[in-house]
Amino acid sequence: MKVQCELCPKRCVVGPGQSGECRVRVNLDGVLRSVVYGFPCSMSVDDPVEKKPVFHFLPGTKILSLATVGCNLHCKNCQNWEISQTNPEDSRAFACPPEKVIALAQQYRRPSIAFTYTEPIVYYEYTFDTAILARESGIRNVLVTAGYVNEGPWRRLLQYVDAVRIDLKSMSEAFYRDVCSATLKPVQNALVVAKSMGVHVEVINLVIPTLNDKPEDLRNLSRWVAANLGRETPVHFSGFSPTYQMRHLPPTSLETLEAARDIAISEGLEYVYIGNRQSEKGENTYCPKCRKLLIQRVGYTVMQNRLADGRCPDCGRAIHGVWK
Amino acid sequence: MTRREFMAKASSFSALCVGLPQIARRVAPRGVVRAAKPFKYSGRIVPMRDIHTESKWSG
Repeated sequence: MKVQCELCPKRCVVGPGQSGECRVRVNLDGVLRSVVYGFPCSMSVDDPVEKKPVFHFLPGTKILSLATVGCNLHCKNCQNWEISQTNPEDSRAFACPPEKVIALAQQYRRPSIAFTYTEPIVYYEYTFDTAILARESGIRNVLVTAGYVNEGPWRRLLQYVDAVRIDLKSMSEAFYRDVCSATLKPVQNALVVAKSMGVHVEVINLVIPTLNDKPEDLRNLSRWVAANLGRETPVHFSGFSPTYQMRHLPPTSLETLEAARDIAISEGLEYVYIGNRQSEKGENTYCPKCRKLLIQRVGYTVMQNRLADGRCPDCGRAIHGVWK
Repeated sequence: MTRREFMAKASSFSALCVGLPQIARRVAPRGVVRAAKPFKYSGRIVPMRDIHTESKWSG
């Protein structure tokens, strides 16, 4: 008997013995099974939270990070394609049920867990059950996701999530269709829903030369974020490196990323960052009111954090984020 | 129409009314959000290792 997976907007109809597009949700004897539940292919207890990147959430802390194989998108520029675009049967994984993830986080005194590297939506049940246990243990949950998910399951999951970092890859439906095998609207909806539920939201945009690096693209994206998520939403413009099916394109220049940052600031966004390239101003947090330096970063390292109870120590302005 | 003909038509019609929805239900896929747990991992199981270093993966 066929089953229809209603987790993401692809709504795959899965025949017996087949998997959905994500490769990890399989119809076995008429029952849809998440074949990667409890079997991460990658885990680290040593990732800085800045690597996600999430800059306004417990800065300077380490975060337990994990992923299973699989993804419901097929981005031609995927940096982690070796694990996101592989079948479970071709992969290596280790057994780590939710209880063990929590025990590891406690053992290494990590204040939060990141569901990251591939796509936490496709290993939804594992994410969900782990997040519930983490919440009960006082550990925070962070999702690093493309946000391509249906609203119902998204809302149920977000009840247990403290922060999300969502890729807003472009404001163009054509880009989502041609580069990512997806659509834009569900991602925008996921962002708006997360914000409306009080979850800390950060947005990342990977700037790819010739595909989404035009000033009007960057302006549209910045305007949409300011209008729909608020000017206080941190936005990261990240540099592309040639990989996977996009080795023919050049890496993004620092000048392009700095121009993107300038455009976003001119559109009223208060916290705009540059990623994947060394940039003095693009890595630091400044007070939107008095422009003083608040958090200085070099790479993923926090060099100094001047915030006092989540406020600028100079002018007293409250700085958006989760600081303790 | 004779009584026999009427009974034949009526029974055909009622059989259609009962049978068509059943066939439709069987053909249409059953919608699922939450998937069940696996029986076992289909790939290769290895010991947990390298969790003490920063991951090489992006994100």
